[in-house]
Amino acid sequence: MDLELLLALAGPALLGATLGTLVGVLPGIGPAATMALLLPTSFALEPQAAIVLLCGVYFGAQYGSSTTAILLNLPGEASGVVTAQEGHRLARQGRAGVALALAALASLLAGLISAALVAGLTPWLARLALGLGPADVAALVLLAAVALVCIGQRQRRKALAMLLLGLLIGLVGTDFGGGAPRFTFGLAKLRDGIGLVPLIVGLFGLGEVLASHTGLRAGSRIAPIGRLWPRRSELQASLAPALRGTGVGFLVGMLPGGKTLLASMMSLALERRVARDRAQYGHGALSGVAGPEAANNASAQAGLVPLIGLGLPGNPAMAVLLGAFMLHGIAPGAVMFERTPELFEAIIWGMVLANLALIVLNLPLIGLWVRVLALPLGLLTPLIVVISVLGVYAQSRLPFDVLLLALFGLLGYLLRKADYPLAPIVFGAVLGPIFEDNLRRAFMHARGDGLELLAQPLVLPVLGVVLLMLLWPLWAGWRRWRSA
Amino acid sequence: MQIVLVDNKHPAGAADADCVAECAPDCVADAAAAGRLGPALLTLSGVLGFALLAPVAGVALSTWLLALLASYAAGNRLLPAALLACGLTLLLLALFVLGLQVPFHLLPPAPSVWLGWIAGLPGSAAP
Repeated sequence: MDLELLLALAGPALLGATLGTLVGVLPGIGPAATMALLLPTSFALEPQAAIVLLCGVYFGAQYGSSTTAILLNLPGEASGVVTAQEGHRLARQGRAGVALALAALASLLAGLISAALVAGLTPWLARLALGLGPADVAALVLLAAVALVCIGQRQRRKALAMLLLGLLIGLVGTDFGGGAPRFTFGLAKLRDGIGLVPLIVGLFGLGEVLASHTGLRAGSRIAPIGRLWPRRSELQASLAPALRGTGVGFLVGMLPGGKTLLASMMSLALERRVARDRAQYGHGALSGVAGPEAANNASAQAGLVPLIGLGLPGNPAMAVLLGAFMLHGIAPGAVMFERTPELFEAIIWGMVLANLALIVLNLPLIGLWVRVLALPLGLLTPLIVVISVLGVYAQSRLPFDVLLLALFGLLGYLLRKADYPLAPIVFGAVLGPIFEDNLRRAFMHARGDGLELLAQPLVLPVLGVVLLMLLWPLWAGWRRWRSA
Repeated sequence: MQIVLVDNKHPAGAADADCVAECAPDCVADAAAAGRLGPALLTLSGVLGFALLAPVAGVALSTWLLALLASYAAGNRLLPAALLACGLTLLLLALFVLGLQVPFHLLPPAPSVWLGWIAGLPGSAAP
């Protein structure tokens, strides 16, 4: 790794980590929408700098969320919910600074270990993927989509409906098999399909702003920060939870549908189980901050293993990252390792730099982020709206995309009101075309023989797991009904 | 230190929102803000206005209108909202034009052509 490239990556890593921390701290616009807004900017950068910038945003958002979770008991991201449980109790005891520092150090440890694991595992997975045919890839994409709906979702039927809606949105455009327009309603502007940027920014950015106009407002008190640097005994007590959290988070993050929230919850459950003094839980346990924070950072970074190795995104942010790869004409997987091996090396070093940047940004500058939190809503909301609209317009310079943004913003608002999850829509829209492309190629290779598709090595086992995931809730419901 | 935040429900799903509510027992519903559709519609009309006006009235003017409506919808009075819109427009146009090198037309297209022709700028045809 030459110093020149390292210096070239330092800027995007620092910028990404800063923007990520900002969106993690601020309510309104999440990491997926921010990454989507940065897509046009990333097009002007070198591919490795663009990917490092977007990764920095995602990792930074995970950490930024813990600041609000600990100080305010209001997590900016889902994974911060778990940190808030013990972290805010520590803050109430006047130990907010220690909790914040431990969260940052645990995240750093998890980030560095995860970068090493991603560097080791991804090329191996990509080599394995070389043996997979289009039928196997289609089956894996199906597994990723169904896992998102079935794992960690309280309302599976609603999530499934949203996944199908996303698939429908992904179908809009020109059929790449025959060239016929599909669901374009005679509009020439829809022939290229619906862009990922208006979809994600509309659902997550504008939709959130519209919901905030009509919804709940919270009055919260920021806890005093107090002493920032932890004592040696506190560091020693947090090391093992952080390492366990890293292991749990990395395993969960690599699974299709593995969410950072799930990783944090599993880490907290594990820490409660192995704790010598379980009574400290509920009264501010340091291991309850270090473990989940390490888990959510490791989980966020582990998502890069299936994304770069197989081209399978595990969450909406990874779907946007896949979009960035596509914008730069890079196909993740074995081909990427053959044609541009230096890109993967740059991404790994970028991950390390982004994690180091987070420590630099978060510990000395914690006071600045607290001040950002105090920005009035009357300033924040118009800023988010105008950045969203100008970002979408700048990306394509088409007023039609702004109309789509308004439409998806309204849709996001209505779906939020009706308590529908929005992430499966993005999944459907991104994974649908990949699934269709691979399924078509698989049928062409098999000359239309469906049975030949089932003979592929991965297809039957993966379809079995998919069926199990879909039928398990029905089976569990039937057993409950029978026992009742 | 007392601050006011929106309830930042995570967009990933209802389960997360429930967790947020559970974790934030201090949250209190602001009766004045609850159930107001007007601001949401005003913001949405700003976005639609931008899409319709940008090609004919210029990006700067459309951005100002959008920022004004969004700012007014967020609870600012008309005069502060107008000032805020001016600041936001200048800041964001500078960011997008200088930072991202996106060529925005600062004037509406029709007067731009006229002015270019009057000033004798190269490439400006007679309207």
